[in-house]
Amino acid sequence: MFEPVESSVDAANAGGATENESSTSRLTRRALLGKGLALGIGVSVGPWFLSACGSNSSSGSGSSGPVTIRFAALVDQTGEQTNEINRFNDANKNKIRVEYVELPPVATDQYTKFVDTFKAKSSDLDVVQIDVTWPAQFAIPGWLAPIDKYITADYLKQFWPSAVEVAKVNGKQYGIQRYMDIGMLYYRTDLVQKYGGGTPPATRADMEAMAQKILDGEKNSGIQYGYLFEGKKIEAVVDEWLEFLWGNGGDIGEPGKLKVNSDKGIEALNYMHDLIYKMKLSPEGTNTYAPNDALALFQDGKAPFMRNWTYAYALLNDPSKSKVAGKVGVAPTLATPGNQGHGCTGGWVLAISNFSKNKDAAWKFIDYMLSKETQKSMSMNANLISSRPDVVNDPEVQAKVAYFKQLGTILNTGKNRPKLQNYNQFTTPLQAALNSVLSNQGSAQDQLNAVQEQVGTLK
Amino acid sequence: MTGGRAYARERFQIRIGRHRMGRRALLWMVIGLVLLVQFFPLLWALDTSLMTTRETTSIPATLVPHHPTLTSYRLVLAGQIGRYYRNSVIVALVATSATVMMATLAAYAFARLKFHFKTPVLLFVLALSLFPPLAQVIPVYQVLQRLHLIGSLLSLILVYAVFGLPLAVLTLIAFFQDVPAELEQAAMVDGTSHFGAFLRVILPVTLPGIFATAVIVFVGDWNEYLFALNYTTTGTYTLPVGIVTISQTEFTTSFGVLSAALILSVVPLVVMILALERRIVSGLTAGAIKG
Amino acid sequence: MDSIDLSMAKKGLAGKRRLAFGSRVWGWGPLRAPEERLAWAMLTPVLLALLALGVYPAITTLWLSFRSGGTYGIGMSMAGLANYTRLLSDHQFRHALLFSLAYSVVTVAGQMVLGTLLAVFANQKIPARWLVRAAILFPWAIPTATNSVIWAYMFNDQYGLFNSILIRLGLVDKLHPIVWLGSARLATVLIFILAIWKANSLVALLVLAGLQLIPNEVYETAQVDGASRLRTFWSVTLPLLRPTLVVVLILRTIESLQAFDLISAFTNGAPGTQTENLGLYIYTQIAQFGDFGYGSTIATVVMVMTLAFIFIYLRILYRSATA
Repeated sequence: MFEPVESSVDAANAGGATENESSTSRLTRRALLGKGLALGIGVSVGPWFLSACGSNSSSGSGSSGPVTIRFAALVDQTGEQTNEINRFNDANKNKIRVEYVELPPVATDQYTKFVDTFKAKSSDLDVVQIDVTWPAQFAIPGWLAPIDKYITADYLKQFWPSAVEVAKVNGKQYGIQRYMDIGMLYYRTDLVQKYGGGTPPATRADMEAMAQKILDGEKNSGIQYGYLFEGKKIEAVVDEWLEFLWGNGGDIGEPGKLKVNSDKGIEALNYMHDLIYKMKLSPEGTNTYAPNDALALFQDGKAPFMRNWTYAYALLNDPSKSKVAGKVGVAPTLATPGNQGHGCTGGWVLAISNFSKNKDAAWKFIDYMLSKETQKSMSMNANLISSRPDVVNDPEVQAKVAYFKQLGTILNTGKNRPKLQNYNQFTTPLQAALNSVLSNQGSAQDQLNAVQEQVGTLK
Repeated sequence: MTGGRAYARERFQIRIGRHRMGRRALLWMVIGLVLLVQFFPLLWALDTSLMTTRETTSIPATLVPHHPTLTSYRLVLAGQIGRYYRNSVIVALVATSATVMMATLAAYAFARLKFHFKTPVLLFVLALSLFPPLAQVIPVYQVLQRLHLIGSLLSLILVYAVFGLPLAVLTLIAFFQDVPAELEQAAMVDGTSHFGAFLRVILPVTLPGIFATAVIVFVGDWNEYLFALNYTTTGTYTLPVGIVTISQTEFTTSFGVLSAALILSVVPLVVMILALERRIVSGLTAGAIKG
Repeated sequence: MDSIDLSMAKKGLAGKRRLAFGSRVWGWGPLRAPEERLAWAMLTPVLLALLALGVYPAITTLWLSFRSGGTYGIGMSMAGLANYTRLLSDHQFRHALLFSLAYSVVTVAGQMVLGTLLAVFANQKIPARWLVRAAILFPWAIPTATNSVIWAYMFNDQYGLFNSILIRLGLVDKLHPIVWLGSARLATVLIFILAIWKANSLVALLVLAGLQLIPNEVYETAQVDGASRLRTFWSVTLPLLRPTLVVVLILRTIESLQAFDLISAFTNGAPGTQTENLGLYIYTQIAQFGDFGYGSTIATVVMVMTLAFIFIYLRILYRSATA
């Protein structure tokens, strides 16, 4: 029944090992074909290489023709960014032309690309949009240009304090946030109304009590868990730990003297652990949840409370995606009695590459992106949180993006992560430690002690 | 020879004739199992690519989309996937051609020719592949940077062509060694040069091996992510980088779009490789019958 | 092989070539020079290519392992063996090393067995042969990282395919779904399975090509001698496949010690650092911490380990070739 198929050796033998006209010619033809193919492709593709290499030269000489500014940022799904750039280009015809350079969507990949470009001292990029934890990392080696000469104290007052603070390194200002992000407590307005009198919980104890009540009362309507959060080994888990720490009045100290294994630090981690394993308010799979996973559960109506970033709000209120559209509210993150909830800030900063040949023009573009009109357009069309209070508190904007009303308080109490020259050396071991404890592998005390050894002297 | 084979076949059929039905069913079950195990992620990706966004992360998972939709495919096609495809094809094709041509020559030398310093040279060729690519991304970046090649497809072509050599050489050595020694002897008896024997006799015989090597090098280049991410820019992304760009945002992975992109990129690749393989294998057996 | 070569060469040189190559000038025996020249000529493209682009990174990695400090390669200074001694007391390195070794042994063994079986199966005259060939090729054709993302998706504890099926079958409680990627043991097993699954097509592809080089007479002789299918496979097919199998073994071992994409996109080393291998650890040091010195040190260690494996394999390879 089973028979081996003709082997090629038999075929060759059957055809004769000596001169076989067709096989010889097929061979040489094949060899030629291969070489010809390679040549042909090389020739047709050559010009593209040149154009790819030669793109630098388009940032002209200055006097004649517009100056080209290359702006590197995330992809914008809504198209708003493209419109903003086009409007700028129209308004500055023949003077400045902004070219958008798309970055990979994953933050770590972007980081790699920025490091590559800066290390090579390349003038390929002028305006860069960087994560809030990168200013110190890029400014200290001298990769960013200070913007102090373009700004005044009054100018800076237009923005949220943290939006400015986050890019101030060693006394110099290196950029300003374009849009904000912050950790928030999401809650089901209908359930909080039914079981909590309509006010979202401010303290941990309040949340636990309310969650338990809701769990008991709403089992049949799909509620399975009490509190959702991200426990995966990613940046978010560090941010949440910080929020629990700050909400309890704790702190991790200043760069150079960081302390992660303080009593309150250990307590915060233990609390996160207990939410899963003792109080059983959070799912056992929490140690694998990224923001999207917690969102998936919340939008399916499986829990009344969730901690997540601001991006979730628009998705939760989209009826085509979410079962709980229209029943979602936001509040500051949890605190303990006598303390205030402090959300961990995030978002993106506009800065200028120190190797740019057109820094003045670059600043012009940044100034435009930070202007009230552009920021208003951005908030209303792309649902991004403006770095300007006057936009977030604008009634017209609030009419379009309802949760901006609560955002003011939340943003005012937001806290920044430590500004370190290598933030990764702080967050990577900490992520692993937090995730270990949330996976029930090790005690909070031991894990944080180990991390302290690694990060205690980071600056 | 034919007599012997028919005789053997007859013996086999007599032996299993009684159990032919049972054997047949078993065979189909094994085939089914193999297909299922190898294909199941593809099948799931196909399923997911037809779902709405909400269905992709519904709890519990939606097994069959209620209203199959082509939205994911439309989203993928509306993006830059055509360009990513083209970039991948160019890079992989050119790099593989170069690698295979160079490697075939070298492998033959290692496998069938005598020369001094064979072992050290072989080790030298291998040594390159022993260093984790991760550690080499940055030094190579510096070299390419000085040549102003960063951001161009040529950078990837050069890198893939060179870094694919150790694997290709080693694989081809094995195939050349599998070939019986008599073949060359027979050819050279007629006064053909050694290189001539290589071209006319050894190459055709090892063609399946060369093709298999080419496929592996090609697919390896096609799927490479690390170097592609570092050395390309927006217009020159290859497929692996492009797929991530299409399907991920800062916080969300769109599984529907990812699945659609996967199907669109992998299925044509596999079909094309099989078609080529079919032609080459049947080309060989056809030549045998003619001669 | 040696004696055959000599006689071959003698005959081949019966023609006009001998004098033209000036073998006397080279100082070796008149029989060797032309073959040697041909060999070097055929080796030149590869050697040039490797010298041009391959040597510099390798040497840089070695060089950097003796330097430390600075950030992202800027501002480093000589450090002698400091990086290497640091390895000795690094728990994370030790764990990653063990994980890499376990990963290598298990997945290479698994894919060799599975891949060879698949290749033998696909080489038969079976119905739907080309579909089976496609099935074999497919896992390899998916980009590694994308594949890991899809698998992570399928094994997600809430909206993943597997748990949903298990819940529907009543085998798993809806409120306590299996957290596949959250348990070190489960995640490790899944990683191994994923790696074997992905690579078995590569092995199958190469073994299949190797199988096609075996002449039919070999099988027929065995059949005529009354050997069973299994006996034929074991005593005839496998030995003939040995060169191919050893090469595949070497290649897969090299790759398994350097694996990065697969694990990074699947668990990224979680829970904690339980599924972290050397590849991930190198990435952490070089790309995240910017510690080129230490990262290069680990890379060098990987290189040495791989070299050790290959030495062993090559001995077997050359022994079987001259047998």
